[in-house]
Amino acid sequence: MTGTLRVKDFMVGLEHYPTVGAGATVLEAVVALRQSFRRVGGVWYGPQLLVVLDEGGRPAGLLTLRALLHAVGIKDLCADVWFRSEAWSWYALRQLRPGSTMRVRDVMRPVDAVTVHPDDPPEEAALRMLDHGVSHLPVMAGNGVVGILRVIDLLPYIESLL
Amino acid sequence: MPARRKVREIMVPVTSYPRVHEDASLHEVVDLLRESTPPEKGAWHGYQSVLVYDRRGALVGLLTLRGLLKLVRLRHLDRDLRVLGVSWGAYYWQRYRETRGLRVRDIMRPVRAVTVRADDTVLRAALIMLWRHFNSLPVVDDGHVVGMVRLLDVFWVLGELLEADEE
Repeated sequence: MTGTLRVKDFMVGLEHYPTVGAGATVLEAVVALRQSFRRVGGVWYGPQLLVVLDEGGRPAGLLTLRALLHAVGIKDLCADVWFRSEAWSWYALRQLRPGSTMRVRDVMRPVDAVTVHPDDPPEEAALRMLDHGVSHLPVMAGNGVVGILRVIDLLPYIESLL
Repeated sequence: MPARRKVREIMVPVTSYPRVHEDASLHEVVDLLRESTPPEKGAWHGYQSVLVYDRRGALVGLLTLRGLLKLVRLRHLDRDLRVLGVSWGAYYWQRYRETRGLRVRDIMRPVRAVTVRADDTVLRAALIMLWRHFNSLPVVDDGHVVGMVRLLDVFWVLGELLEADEE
């Protein structure tokens, strides 16, 4: 049944994702992503990805929630605060700031780093996600990005294997 | 004040988190994950894992989206071997057949593997998630799992902190 289904049948259109300019700061990206979150029944929902646009408005990269946390320097804090009880010290706060003024283009994943084609079989996309350790793949046709594919979008395919 | 936020304040209570029985079929997990994501918003993510309970009602594990994705590799491996005509392909075929009857308990992550405490700071939860590459962590209080904290929850609070710092 799903044998003839292709990536284009699973992907979510690009227009559903929030965007940010490549020249924006990481902090501005954090703000943009947070603005797209919604609270439903006390639980936060939202996209885990920003699409980065170049000056011409074309998709140039992807910025995941995880990459943003890395970018604001949180991981670098490990050595300093890991064993402190007062992890949220003012010292830690100041450490977060330099990272947040970096530009989005310096921390994004270039859009053509790992991609799939709309006509690729879903298995191909799943294996690529596993091989590259990513949860989002840009779907590229020609030079343009037409959509994004996430692990959760592949659920119907995974179910067909069970 | 964001700088003092504890995991307890931002976690999803264990009672509101999607759950399955360890003997449940993987189809049930797929259905749960599908239901827990609001369908009207194409790019939204809600839950990327479900909690797994045993017969006595004890929380024993966590089944993640990524865990499900790994099943694709198993199937792929099996097909390749049969195409190649490898003599031990039959062994893998058998394994694959067994896979079709896989239960939740076979591919879950044990709940005790990595946890945070309810009184830990949000930053500590963030560090563990980044280090271990997890998207959700069980929250333990007094020996019991009381909630789940997701990368989304952590990001919300840290963003609050960064934005406040900017003003």
